[in-house]
Amino acid sequence: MQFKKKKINMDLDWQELSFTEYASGIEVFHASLFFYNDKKAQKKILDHALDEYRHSKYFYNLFINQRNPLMVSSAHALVNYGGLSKSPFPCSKEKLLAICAYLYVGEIRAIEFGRKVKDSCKNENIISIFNIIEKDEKNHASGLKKFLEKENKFLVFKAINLAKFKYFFADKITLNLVIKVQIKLETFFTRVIFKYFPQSIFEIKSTAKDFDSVFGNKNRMS
Amino acid sequence: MPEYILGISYGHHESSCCLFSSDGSVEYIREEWVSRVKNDFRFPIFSLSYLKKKYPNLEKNIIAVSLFEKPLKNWLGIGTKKNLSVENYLNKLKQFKNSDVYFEKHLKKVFNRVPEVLYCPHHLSHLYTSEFLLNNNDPNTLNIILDAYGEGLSGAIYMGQGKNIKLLKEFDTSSSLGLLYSGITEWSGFKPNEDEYKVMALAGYGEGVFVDFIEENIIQFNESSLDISINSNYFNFEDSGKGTITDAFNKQFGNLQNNKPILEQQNILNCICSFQFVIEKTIISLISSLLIIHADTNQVFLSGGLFHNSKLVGEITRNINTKILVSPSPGDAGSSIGASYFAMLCLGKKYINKNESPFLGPKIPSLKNYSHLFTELKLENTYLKILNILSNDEIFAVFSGYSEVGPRALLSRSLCCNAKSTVALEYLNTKIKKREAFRPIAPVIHKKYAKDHFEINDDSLQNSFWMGQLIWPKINSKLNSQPFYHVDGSVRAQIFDNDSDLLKKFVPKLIQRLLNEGHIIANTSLNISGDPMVFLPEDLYLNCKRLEVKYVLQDNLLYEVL
Repeated sequence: MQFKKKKINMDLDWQELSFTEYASGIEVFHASLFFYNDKKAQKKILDHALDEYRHSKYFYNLFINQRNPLMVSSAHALVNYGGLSKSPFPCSKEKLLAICAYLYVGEIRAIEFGRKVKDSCKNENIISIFNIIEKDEKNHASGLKKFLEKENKFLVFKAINLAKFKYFFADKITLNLVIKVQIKLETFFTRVIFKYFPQSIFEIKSTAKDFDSVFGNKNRMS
Repeated sequence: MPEYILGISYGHHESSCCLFSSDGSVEYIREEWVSRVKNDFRFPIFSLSYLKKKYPNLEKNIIAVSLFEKPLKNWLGIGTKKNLSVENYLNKLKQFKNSDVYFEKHLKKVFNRVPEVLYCPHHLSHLYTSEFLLNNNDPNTLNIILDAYGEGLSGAIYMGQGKNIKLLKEFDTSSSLGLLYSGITEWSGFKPNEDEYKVMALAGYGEGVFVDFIEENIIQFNESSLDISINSNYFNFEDSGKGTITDAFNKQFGNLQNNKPILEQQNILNCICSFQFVIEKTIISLISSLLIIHADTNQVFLSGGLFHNSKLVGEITRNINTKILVSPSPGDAGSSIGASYFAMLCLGKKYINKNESPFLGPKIPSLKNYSHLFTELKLENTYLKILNILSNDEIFAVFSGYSEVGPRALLSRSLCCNAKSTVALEYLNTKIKKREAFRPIAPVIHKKYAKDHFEINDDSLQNSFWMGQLIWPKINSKLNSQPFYHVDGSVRAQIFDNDSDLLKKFVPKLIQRLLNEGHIIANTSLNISGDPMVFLPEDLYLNCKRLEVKYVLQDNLLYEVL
């Protein structure tokens, strides 16, 4: 797969994209639970979740041709690579507006991302996949927009901008210099702690010889 | 107004919660069921939100929360020695930041008022989970707990139950057969701490050509001291900055070829088979030695993640003539039950006298309220329709009763077909479930027929109620060469027993009738391979759509997915 560097400078990781879409499927599923009393809407949202799982499958199929799969658990992958660490779920129904705004912004970003990839990619198969996904995402975005249009305009404006800000911050933080400095400092201090602290600090002794010994220690973390 | 004790397990594998109520009820939830993230290891915020919603007075009436381990001891227990790699120490720092040391801080996010917090030692959580799930109170119970790692140990042996327990032996992490198995799992190209069951299935495809080498050079068992030793030249368990498998191991056993299917790599399969055999032999020797020393032992309870290995449990129960039981949830995911039980003992409460059920999860919601997703089929005879589905090699889902505590579907959240049909089984296994073809689907068979065809140790039969062990066919069984057999001739059957309340109360009557009449039903969990089991009707809808499953059986009514 080759991309024209001028328009988009990215090395697409199909596995990560697969996790991202899968994580979106999970988030949309959680959103659907708020619509238990609106059966028609709930079915539509669940079908939206099915689309996300299908997109995940497209990327997974592209990925399985690659060699080195991530040897981490699916939970770690979904949390760290799929983006679930930043997910607003679980949350109460009062946050429904914020959730829909978050999902709406996510759809818009996905459409923009897909367009960039299509502009830069020469592979017809990949372009056709992104065409299908774009059509679905537009459909999802339009459904979410319809829901948001029924709500208080000021609150919607606020929720959308907050969601955009969260995404912007999430993007930037991964590149931030502060993080790099933090890692350096952590490395330094970790070395110091484990090098100079006496080994006895880390030694543990069995305290579970019988129930009485355990009972006396029941509120302790060690 | 009932009062509550809550047990929590998280941080390593699948997180879970278990709520004991003074009205005698128990409710167990795995975080992955609610969060929809397979093997979700995080603080179980979804489960707790679920419980808070279901029990509005939970916060007011909760008297204690119990964690399944001592978090600081657990963190200190491994990777803190001097002269390890910098990466290891950085991992330790990262682990600390994400660990359950912050348990009480996490609790404060859920409860405004945090009740008394108790910390149950890791291996005792396993012990008490077994004691509760196996419903037995015999002081002459030998508890063997073996897992990968917990609080600086990889296992412990206790005699007794309840408050009358006595530690007999502890195993440190250098002798961790669980970590060894995870290492082999990773070396074979699978995910460690997740795919061990796949590696166990692959063992049947190999030959034990390395057994002598492993016994002489890698794993040794000392019958007098009961010590298990693992040669650290071949495995590294201490330094997380380096791989578990060492260069010496790779030199001896070779490497996986990424571009070749695993079933075509005989050397890898032989290695897996040999390690599985030596582990079985080691544990059988350990139990046999213990039974000689403690001759008054009436029964042996096995717990800890190592005993998820149903081949290991099957070999143990067919080689040792004592009552040996493994609980339906022997790993860390079940430990929240033990943590609750521990708190109950510590606080001197007697909420629950007796538990006979592996179905401690929430009641499965009725599909009648989900007419927008499922439609009830108005049939004159549902039983005939099910027979028709089976004879046409079609698949149906079961979503009925209560959720199971363990990792295996026991006919309340299952996908079923005719187990004797190769076509139906292959379709269910590889096309619907998208599982590897080397893992046959388990059959469910009635006890009266199972006893005719399989060698079953009566004392340990209970393990087969929840597929906890493999069984082997009798030499002249007419059921030989069925498609549900493993390549080595074993079967991981679920045995249904009419005389036992353990399953009878929970399995749909229609399925009971099928089994009574001699049908053998293939049973696998209701999910796509690698996803969590379905929990809510909304999950069921998504999964049926993704799996292309048309029919769902609930309370003897058949539904069609819209």
